[in-house]
Amino acid sequence: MPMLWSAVSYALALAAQGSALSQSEARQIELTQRSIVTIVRSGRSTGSAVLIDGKRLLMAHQNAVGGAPVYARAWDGTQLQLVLLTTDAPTQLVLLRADKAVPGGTKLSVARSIGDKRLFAIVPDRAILAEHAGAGQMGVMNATQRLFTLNEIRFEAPASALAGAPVFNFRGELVGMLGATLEQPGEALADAGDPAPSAAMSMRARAKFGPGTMTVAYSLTADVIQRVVAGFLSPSLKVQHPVIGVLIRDAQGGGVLVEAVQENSPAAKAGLKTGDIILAMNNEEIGDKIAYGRFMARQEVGNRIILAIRRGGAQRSLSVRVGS
Amino acid sequence: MNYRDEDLIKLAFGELDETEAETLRKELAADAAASSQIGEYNWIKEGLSDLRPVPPMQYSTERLRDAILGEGLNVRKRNPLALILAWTPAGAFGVAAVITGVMLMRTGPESLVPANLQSETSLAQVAMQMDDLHRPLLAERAFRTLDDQVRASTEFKVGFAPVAEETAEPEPKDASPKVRFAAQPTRSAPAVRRETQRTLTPETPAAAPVMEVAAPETADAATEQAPPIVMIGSEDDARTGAPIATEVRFDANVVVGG
Repeated sequence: MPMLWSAVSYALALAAQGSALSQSEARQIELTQRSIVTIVRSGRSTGSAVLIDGKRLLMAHQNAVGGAPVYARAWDGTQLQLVLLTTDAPTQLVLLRADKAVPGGTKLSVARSIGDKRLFAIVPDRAILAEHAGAGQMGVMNATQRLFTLNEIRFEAPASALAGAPVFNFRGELVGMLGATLEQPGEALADAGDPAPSAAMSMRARAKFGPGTMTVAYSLTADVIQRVVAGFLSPSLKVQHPVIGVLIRDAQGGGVLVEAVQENSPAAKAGLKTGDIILAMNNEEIGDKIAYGRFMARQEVGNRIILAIRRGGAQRSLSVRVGS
Repeated sequence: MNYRDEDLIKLAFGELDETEAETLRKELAADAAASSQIGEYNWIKEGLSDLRPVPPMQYSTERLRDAILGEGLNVRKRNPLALILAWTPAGAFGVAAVITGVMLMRTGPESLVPANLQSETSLAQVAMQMDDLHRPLLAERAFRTLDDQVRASTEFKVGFAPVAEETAEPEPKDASPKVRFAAQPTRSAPAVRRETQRTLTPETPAAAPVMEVAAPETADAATEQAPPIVMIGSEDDARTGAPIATEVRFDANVVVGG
């Protein structure tokens, strides 16, 4: 029993030390908050928007915005009116324009990769410490069924209005925006329809630490955020995500089975048909949908891809130009 | 006629001078679309005036930092009394360890074993005391039991005895991970049998004890090859306001686009 008490007290001491914030970190949070506005709807804070051009253009999650009109409050209390300019459906991020320049705002710097484990997220009117808990996980956005790479972000503080909360490293670089939160423990396992959840999934669903329940959230990776910001700042305001226009699933024996081909898509133009099995892309073996997603995530719009497919027992090659 | 948004906003928010405002109002009177737009801006202006009063902002670095520490991070202040209480058991444990050490040095490890247990004999001692007629029967029972454990168990057996030189049992061709664990114990059955025989032979000192370590569940070993896929749905979590994510196994039959 004394040993148990000793271990518990030591763990508590470590946990207390882990939450300490240095003065330089606090300063970084303060500076970063100047480029964030709090979105207000019906007198209630519903989320955060991040300044992407240093002046009036802001990026947020569509959940935070809802229907027009949208108001916002800057870090110094300045009230702004926001106009919705465009929505990027695959990522559910929206571009907003403020009626005046955000005071003290600076141009956003997007990280090349998430890098650090210790991060912070800005939620309405406050910042919370967060931890990068996993990289390279693939996520499916239900609205478009597109695969994106995600980062798993965890934090202890209970928080609402998390949709689109920008996540930064302590160099002040944007590393992601929260796009979803993991379903509460119990519900996730019951509703997944998965008869045998892995030990990691069960452990994560049950995991708790500190005084509150741990929140597990997912953010789009920095490369996707960079693509969205570039699109929003372009004259067309359109984001170009690399796609060829197919719906796929894992094929038995390896490869991915083409379930559907979108009309007038690059895949349709190249002659890809429902029932084809994609075995390789640019000589890179495509064993399953995850491999397909990772390959496509590395592509740029306009790239040419050579597909090795199997159709009716025969193998052949097709050339597809990546579209958006 | 089309008007710039900014002109209409300025008019609605009273930022034009009287002359400009009057001119614009006259023009708008003939433009239904622009009039509607200006009406919307007036509505916005009223909405803005209804917003909650904004609390005084934290211009000072120190005040902002305090706010972050106090509200955002929920830092627990260290209570000296709580700290002392938390570390008291550790001190007590240390004292107990020192006392135990002193006892061991003075009286030897036997002093820690209860008297009733000190009088009991081990299995090897029992075997040593038995006559030749009974010894084979006891040995046969003992190593058959261990042999069965090695064949059927899904637990690793990590021992200090050397691994047998005899050929291990062949691995099934289409063995699932679970079968593979069962077919590949760290020690083969013949080696266990020899150890058992050594244990039960009076001339041979008893073999080192066998430490048993639970093997990972084989089903999880397979699923840990790839992380699960995150499914981000269209429904929102009322608690967080963000879309709900669920995880499914990486090999789930999910249709994806791209």
